[in-house]
Amino acid sequence: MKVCLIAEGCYPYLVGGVSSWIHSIIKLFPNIEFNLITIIADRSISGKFAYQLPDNLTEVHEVYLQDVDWIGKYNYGKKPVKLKKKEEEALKSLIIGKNIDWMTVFHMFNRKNISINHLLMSPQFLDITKEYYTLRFSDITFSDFLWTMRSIYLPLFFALKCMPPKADIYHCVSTGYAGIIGSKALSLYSGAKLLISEHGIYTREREEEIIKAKWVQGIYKTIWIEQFRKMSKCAYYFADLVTSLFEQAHSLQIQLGCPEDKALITPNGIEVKNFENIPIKEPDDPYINVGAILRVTPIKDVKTMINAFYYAHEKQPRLKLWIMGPDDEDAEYAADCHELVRALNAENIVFTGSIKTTDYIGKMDMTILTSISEGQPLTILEGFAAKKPCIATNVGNCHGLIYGEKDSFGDAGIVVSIMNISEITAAILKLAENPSLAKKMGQNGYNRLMAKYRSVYMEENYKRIYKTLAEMSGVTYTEKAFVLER
Amino acid sequence: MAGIGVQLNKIFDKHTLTSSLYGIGFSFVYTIAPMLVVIGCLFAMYRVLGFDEVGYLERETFSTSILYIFIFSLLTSAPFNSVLSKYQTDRIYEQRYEDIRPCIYVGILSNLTLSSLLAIPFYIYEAIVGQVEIYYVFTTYMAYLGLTLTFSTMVYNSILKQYKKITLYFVCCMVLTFLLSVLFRFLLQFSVTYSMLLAIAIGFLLIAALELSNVLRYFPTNSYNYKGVLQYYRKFWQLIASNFLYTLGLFVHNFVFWTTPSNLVVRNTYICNQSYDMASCLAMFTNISASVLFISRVEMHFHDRYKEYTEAVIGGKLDSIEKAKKRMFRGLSSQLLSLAHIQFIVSVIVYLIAIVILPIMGFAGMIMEIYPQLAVGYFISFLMYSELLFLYYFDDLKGAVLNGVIFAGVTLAGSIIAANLSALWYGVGFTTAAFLAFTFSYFRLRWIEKNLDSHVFCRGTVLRQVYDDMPDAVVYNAYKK
Repeated sequence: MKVCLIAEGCYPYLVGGVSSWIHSIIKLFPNIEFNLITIIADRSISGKFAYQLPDNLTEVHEVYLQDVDWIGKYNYGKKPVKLKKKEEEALKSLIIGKNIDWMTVFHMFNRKNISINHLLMSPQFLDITKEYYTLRFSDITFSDFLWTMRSIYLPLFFALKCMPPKADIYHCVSTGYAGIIGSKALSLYSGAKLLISEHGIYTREREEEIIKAKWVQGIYKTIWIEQFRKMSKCAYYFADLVTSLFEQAHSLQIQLGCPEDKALITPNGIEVKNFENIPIKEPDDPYINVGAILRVTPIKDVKTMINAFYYAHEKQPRLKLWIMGPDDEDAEYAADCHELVRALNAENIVFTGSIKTTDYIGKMDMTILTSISEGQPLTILEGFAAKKPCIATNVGNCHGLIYGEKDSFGDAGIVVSIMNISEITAAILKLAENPSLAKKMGQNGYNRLMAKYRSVYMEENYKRIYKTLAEMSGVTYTEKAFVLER
Repeated sequence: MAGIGVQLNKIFDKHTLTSSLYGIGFSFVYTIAPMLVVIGCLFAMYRVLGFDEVGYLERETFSTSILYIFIFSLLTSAPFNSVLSKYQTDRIYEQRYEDIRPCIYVGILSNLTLSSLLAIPFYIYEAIVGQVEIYYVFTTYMAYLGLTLTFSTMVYNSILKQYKKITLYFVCCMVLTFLLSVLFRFLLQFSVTYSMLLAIAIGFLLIAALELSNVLRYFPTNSYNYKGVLQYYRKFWQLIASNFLYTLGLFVHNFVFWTTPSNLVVRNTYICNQSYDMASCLAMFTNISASVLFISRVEMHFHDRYKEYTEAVIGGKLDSIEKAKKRMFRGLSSQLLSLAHIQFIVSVIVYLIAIVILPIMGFAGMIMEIYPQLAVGYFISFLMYSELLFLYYFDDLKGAVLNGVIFAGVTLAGSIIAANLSALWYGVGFTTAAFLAFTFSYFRLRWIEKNLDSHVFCRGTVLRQVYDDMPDAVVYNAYKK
């Protein structure tokens, strides 16, 4: 059986929650041959993998959202591709309509050497844009509108131009462009099935990004948000099953157009065995260690963490903050964080860079996560595996992980509001000054993890899903380990 | 041209009789005055130096030399000057003034190279077969290069709106030409024709030098980006082709009639057809006011509407763009019609005067038989040229090339056929070509009107195009490891 994973902006280039999840899924199923379609910005990071690829991952395909227009060696002087009436209608439905004829859109992009440039610069695209403009946006500058529409559809058309490899199951790790490629694969290979596993809710995350973004202004924010909704709806429509990590995300998917009968919850899981016999805190360590295992990026809001820790440290000088994770994803932001530490003259803040979690986490007294957006963070679960309590902002499933969802294990840390420095400071001080409370909370987290979030549960869930989808597509699911035959 | 339009707007905006007369005079001085000054100088030299008393062979050698200088300098400078003009305008718009010097140098080199490639073999032939003295041939060659350079440097000065200076240079240099010819003839005792030829060569080279120094003063720095200019030649080859074909169409009918039995062969070198050439010259002059009228009436009004439209395209709502477009094309139609009306009246009056006056001046017989048909042809071809300029406005280079192909092609074919008809119909090939090219351009402009949005909004590229197959998307394949 072959599963084609489709990921956007993560594995195998960046280390992080979703990347780890993909890596573990591939490793959990040595009996399955995996292919990967990975969507990246451009060719600049092509082939620069941050992970050692597992043996059962046999192919990696790249899709770039910013690329040149490849129109074929012998296409000099050839006229632009002429759209058929049905294709023109489909393009119109894609831009204006509510009921998009996705199948015709997919078939249109299955044509060899279709030129994205010709399509975006075509009179048909112009006419449809004019109609859309007249219907809804007739008070704004037309040329700006037209070029914005072109820039909106440019990455989508790049995704649509992707020709996925043949597989039995297409497993998208988000909706968005990944979802579009997965949906398109079904137009190429009848009998294939589509599974969507959302970690965060893609539409909501993009919405938040667009609202905050400076590069897009006014009415264009609405258009971009609608575009992402449109893409997610497409993925939900074509998917055979859609998973989410927790209840709230599940409800959100349904709100955003995912049919209820397709949606199910499959929580994350980690391998607890890996956290047995890990190095622990030295008895003579004078510090109270706070561990933040994260990528130094704006979405993790490291600046708020540093500020909050600064005030906590002023009251409790034994506190020490360990910021552990890669800082090369957004070098400018990382530099700002280092500068902030220098400016505050904040002592006891250590940037370790990339580390092996198990080498450090046992030495911590608590973990901390100040993200402004999350799904179900693996870092909290890893902290629980090491029996560490967690301070986390109220995003994604952090509340559920820390306070529990319909269980009686008790609090496993403290949930704080996003960007609330004083609440975070208070939480750090509370755990720092109450070691017994911290220990109790750490144990509660461990108990919750053992009951609900072990990798074995995740493996069972996905085995069931893969088996079901294999049955649906008439493929035999075997437990026999996949062996590469060159 | 647009520069004159703006200045004329200022003049005509006063809406008084004197300002209107001043406006027409302004257009006249800055469009056809330089040419009239040259013709005036030639006539003055004819009279004062006693050209009529010169022997037939010498006289005809001189006349055909001058005829060839004019025709072929126009033909060889036409292809490059249009692109050089566009390059200069674009760089001025981008404020990359340091790129203008390379444009001037490349322009001069291109013009001189093409002109010489055509002229040197011909002049060697003239010296060997025609047995014309080397110094005379060389002076003719210099006069030819001088006029080619004059046309070339005139382009740069026109873009800088140096109309007054251009006219001044022509007037001063032609006065000097006349004085030099007198000096050569009466003081240095040169022959009449050589005095005239040498003076003209000096005059043309001097105008070119003055124009060149004027434009170089404006652009003191040099980016040495010669490649950029050459790339423009490649990119805008259609502009080169259309301008060349239009100029070729204006003369190719003469070439056809040079091969008919009524031609005149001078020194086994120069061929011409005196009756036909003179008739076409008169017909051209009958309609020459069209260029004045076009500038003063058409472009002046149209330019504003075109500006309104482009402004709407850049920053307007869709309905403002539509309205501006309608207004612009309404203006274009009415101005073309108005040009046709007024030019028709002017041409009829000039024609009537011509058929009365010219026979008195000695123009009769075959010339006056050929003249009416060609007068109609030039009337239509000048209207067609106005349309061609509108096609350039809308960047429709494909349309402009097709226009040129029709004009030059039909003129050639039509004239070959017309050469077998009676003298009255000699010009029918040219007239038919002008009419067909006019009709084509008219419908092409209508087509542009219908498709202007695609033309404006669907040109260019949204991303870089690579004429190659997309590289394999697979960056890792365990089977091929």
